[in-house]
Amino acid sequence: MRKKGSVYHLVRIAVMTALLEAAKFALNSIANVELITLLLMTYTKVFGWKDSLKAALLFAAIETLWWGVSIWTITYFYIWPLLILLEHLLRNCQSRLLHACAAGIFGLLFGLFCSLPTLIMNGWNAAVAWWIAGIPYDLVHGISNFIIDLLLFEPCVKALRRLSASHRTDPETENA
Amino acid sequence: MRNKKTQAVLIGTILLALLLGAVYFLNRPRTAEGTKHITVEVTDDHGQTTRYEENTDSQYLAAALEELTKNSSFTMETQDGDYGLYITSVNGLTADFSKDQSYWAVYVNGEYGSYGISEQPVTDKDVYTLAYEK
Repeated sequence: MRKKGSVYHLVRIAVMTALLEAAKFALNSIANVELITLLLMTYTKVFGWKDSLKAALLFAAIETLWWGVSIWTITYFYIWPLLILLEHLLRNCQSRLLHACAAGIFGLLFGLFCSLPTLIMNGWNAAVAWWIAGIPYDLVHGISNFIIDLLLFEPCVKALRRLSASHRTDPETENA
Repeated sequence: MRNKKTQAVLIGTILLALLLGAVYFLNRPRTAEGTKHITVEVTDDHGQTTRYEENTDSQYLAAALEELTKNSSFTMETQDGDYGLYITSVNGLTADFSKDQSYWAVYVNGEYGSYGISEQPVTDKDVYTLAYEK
């Protein structure tokens, strides 16, 4: 039985977080196309919501340390947990099309979720204006999320399950 | 049964995308034809403000500012970002968010601009303020 907080467990969360950071940097140059949604949905499907939430919060903390406290780094602390909750609700769903739709809807509503700090700080009118101005980017985000998830969600889940299973057969690594 | 559910979610996703497109289309920034008289204010890192006046036929702020660089001492450098073109340097003063969280903010008639300079429509008698902020 693997103990919680074992080295294996800690390293796994660290690698999950590092992958999120690497994916963020790798696609930084392509506006509104990202792999964080795919990775977090895959993590939640394979490892469950608790570890995924830890990785997501660590990722948000690293982004805040790197870029400083700003509106978009604050949004990361609730927006990615929201995605994990969505994927957790879909945990028994086998349809890849449904997962792709969930990723697409998340991308389409990304700007709406991100407008929450503007709503609190600048009021309703500013938040609505800010959200509407970003809709073209949300459309790109939603469509790209849908396509990426449709093509890569299942292969990523299978690959991660295979990797995870191969580590479980190596008892020497536990509590090393 | 399951297929019907998936189909319904897929149709719902497409409808949501169309709805968002419609919301944007109905509220999109309107541009104006003809010559517009605009004021551009530049506020630097010491709070000093320089004013420029310009007559322009440009429909978007990026093109109007580009014109201003040719007709005055105003200089500007831009980069393509996630949300369109953004200003990196004005009158030789560079803002680098990754270094010190500084950036060039755009205000339209005193209100924080919702659009990037390549999408901000130019309207007659508008005052655009480019402010160095941290």
